[in-house]
Amino acid sequence: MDQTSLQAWAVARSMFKGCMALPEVYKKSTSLKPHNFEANLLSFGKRQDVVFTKKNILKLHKGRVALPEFRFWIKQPFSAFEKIKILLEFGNFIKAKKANLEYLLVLLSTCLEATAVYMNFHPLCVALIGDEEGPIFFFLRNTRSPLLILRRNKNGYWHTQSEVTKEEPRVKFSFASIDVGMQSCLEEVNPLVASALGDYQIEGYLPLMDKVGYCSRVTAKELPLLI
Amino acid sequence: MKAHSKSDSLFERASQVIPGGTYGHIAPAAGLPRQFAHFCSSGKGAVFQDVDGNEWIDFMCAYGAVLHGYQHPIIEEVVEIQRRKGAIFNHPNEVVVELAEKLTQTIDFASWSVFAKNGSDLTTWAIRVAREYTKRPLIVKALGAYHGVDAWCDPGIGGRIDSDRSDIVEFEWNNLNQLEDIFKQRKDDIAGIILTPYHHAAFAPSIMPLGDFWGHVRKLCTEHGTLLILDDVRAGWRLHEGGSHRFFNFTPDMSVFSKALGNGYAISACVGIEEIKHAASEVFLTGSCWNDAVAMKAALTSLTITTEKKVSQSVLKKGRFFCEKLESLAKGANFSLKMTGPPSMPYPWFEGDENLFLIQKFCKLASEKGLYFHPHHNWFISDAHDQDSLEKSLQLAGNAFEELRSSNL
Repeated sequence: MDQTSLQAWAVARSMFKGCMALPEVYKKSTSLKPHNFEANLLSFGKRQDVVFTKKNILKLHKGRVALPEFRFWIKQPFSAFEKIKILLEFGNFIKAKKANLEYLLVLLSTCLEATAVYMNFHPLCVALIGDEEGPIFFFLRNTRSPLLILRRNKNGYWHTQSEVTKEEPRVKFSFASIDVGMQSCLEEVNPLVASALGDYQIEGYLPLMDKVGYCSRVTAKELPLLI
Repeated sequence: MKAHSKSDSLFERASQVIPGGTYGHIAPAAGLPRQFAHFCSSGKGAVFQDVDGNEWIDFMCAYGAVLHGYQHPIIEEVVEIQRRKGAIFNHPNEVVVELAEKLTQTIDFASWSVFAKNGSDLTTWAIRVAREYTKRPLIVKALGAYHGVDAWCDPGIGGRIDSDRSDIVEFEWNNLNQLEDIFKQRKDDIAGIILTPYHHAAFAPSIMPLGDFWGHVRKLCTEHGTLLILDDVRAGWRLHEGGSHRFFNFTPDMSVFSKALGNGYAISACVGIEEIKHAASEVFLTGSCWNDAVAMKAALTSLTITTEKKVSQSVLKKGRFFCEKLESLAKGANFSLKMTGPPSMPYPWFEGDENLFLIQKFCKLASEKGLYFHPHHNWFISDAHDQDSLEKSLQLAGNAFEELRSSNL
């Protein structure tokens, strides 16, 4: 996968997962699952109504104006409009930067899914992760239910998942607070310092978390969340 | 809950001026008990104090560097005398000759010694000696084995490029078929094999050599003109007074020591056979402070104590007592704990705890009682662990097992 395709795929997947984390649009947003389409196009959902060039997806990530491809949305304007509304809602939600649990969930889903894409396709990350298995459960400290799970599916691809399964975690990663969680997603904390001072608590098979942490920093460096 | 406010405050200061606050194996890595301090202030015997004044019964011994206990009086006295005279000069102090003579007398196959400061300095130098001697490029090592911080072997992730390891080949510890296959495919390229005396990887139980592992490795090396390098940095002097190869009954071509050699003073040594002495002299080796007379005096005295008092046997015996009792206490609380590896440097492993949650929890509970048990690294017994300190530790560990059982119910 070339760099533009990788980054566009990571942005599209993270937008999709970010939208899924918005509770009020959960059901609708499932139709936003991205699909590669032709050589340089990405469709949000199978219907091929909201289709962006990969370059335009990257423009969106940088906060610039980028329109979906006219020839597709004009064929199905109503469904395209619904999807664009959700995407705009997601963008506005992210920009609002509110320190609450809902915001942390959306932010974490967005950032971790991009990391998952890098763990699947970025050569350095793929080599680093090797055949490591998850899952990694992310918590807010002193809560029993995980915020999010990062796991490998049966086809070997990493992805985020909000549904809790009976599977035992390989790593438990807990943020001391919502603020710490947000700062972590925005790469505003040094992970070594945060774990030393108790802002993070990481339990379980740490070598896996070291690798995932490194991949997340590679991802954030190449695709910083621009808020 | 132990106090750690000063420790945290120091760490925050450190993080402003040191990348990551502290680094490497002493970094306050995730998964370690939060009770563990980030900074120590003093130590005596088998006990150390952190900067908040908490006292710990130590089972890491400065990650193996302390064999006779912190501030051993005889070593400290000798060190103090040398310190008053000076440590580093334009030329080496005569102690370098005395120490080299002592090592060649102590290590049965050794006819020469060189010195540096850190284990990595000399594991890396030793593989270069093997390349110089054989005029071949390839080095074979065990998968997951630690040989230091240099790019050919470090366990980190950052800063690495493909060529760093283009002449390094790995095989699974104890898998002689794999090793033989490497020799079949690359026999004319292999300069050396570097191995630890047994497999002591972090985050996993230690693995002892199976059957005649060392005999086979030695035979393969001899048959193919490959040098056998023993990385005895971690295990050295805790298995046998004459080097860990004696414990496993084989003869390497070179051995590298550090850690316990200076009982906490920074020094490393590489010893080798006569046949490669010339090649050794061809490979450049130096460091501004490597001829440190203070550290060399410490090493010379430490070695003398080790051989005269048979300290390796002593720590093995103490470790055996401690490990057996600890396993028994665990069993009494319905946990299947196995102290893997040699008893003088055991790695604790709960059966079925592949993801390490149980050992992390146990070490956390133990830390609340002042026991410095590391959840991911082999522990170390020093000769300063006396019967009282071991029994007290066992009693506290027993309480930790009970709490662990209660919390798991």
